[in-house]
Amino acid sequence: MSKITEELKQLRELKEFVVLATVKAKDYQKTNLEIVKNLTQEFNIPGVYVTLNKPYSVIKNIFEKSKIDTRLIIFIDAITKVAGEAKKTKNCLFIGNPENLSDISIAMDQAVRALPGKDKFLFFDSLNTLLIYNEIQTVIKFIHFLASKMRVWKVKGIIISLEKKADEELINELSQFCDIKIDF
Amino acid sequence: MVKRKIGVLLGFLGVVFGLVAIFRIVVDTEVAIGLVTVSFGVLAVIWTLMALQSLSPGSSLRRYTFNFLLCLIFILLFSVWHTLEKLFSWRVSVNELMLYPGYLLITLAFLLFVGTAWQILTLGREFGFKGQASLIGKVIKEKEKEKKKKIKR
Repeated sequence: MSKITEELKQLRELKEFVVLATVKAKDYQKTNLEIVKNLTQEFNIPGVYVTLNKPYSVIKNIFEKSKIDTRLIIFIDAITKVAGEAKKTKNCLFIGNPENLSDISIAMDQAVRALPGKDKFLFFDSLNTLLIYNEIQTVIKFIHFLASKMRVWKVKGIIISLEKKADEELINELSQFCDIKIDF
Repeated sequence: MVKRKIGVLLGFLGVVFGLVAIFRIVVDTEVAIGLVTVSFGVLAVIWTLMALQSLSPGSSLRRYTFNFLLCLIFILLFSVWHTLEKLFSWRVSVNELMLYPGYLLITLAFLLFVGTAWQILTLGREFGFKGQASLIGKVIKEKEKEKKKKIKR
């Protein structure tokens, strides 16, 4: 059993949690896939996947190749450029700009609240991309907001961050808003 | 929590005393109502401006808030015009036509409201996930049925 599956199995007992997951750059994609696979297949719960890193079309392909049921996921893509305001396709909302934190927040709120059932997850990919487009103080405020919202929504929340020396202090500061910090 | 409740109570009392004072000082009821609506309008504009400043530039919500602010400003201008016109009896002292700028302002406000309502409709369509959520619900039910079938076998 992999480390990810093991860690998630322990979290399974908890109805809701906010996890700050730090991953090594080389394992980033594999870890993301395994977490989402666990949530949708093992936990069998629907969720929201917020991507600031890779476009929806790419993520969908990767997920489908890994046999992840994308029908259970609402995608919010803040990286694919769209003309004008936010645009929506069948199961993805394109925000168009990772700096547009207001629209990302509304989209997450609406998507999570719309999901059926009590058990749901929210996967935020990733903290580092947020840092490229926004100032550090804005990111801290946003993650604090996101962590408290995750508690209000009663979701299994996962915030992904790459393990970087430069962001170490920030990650330590942010980990106080989360229930657990897991290094994958 | 207690501090917040005390704050709300004091605020409420302040509004009540303010209203009583306006109606006592200003004898003409129409002018008094005008002053009350203008003061509430100013407060609404201030709050909307504060919201506008904290929203991300270029976001849908910011654009909506800006349009809403324009609507508020036109309604406020209408209230100001109407109150001044009553206060100084411009229709009698100046001209009967002094009634019409007020009509123009309220018409513009409603035209802007229509635009803003259209914007909130598109926002609702973009940010609403009801369709996707019901599909997810169906998928979950299908999976549960499959699981039960497997267990029976």
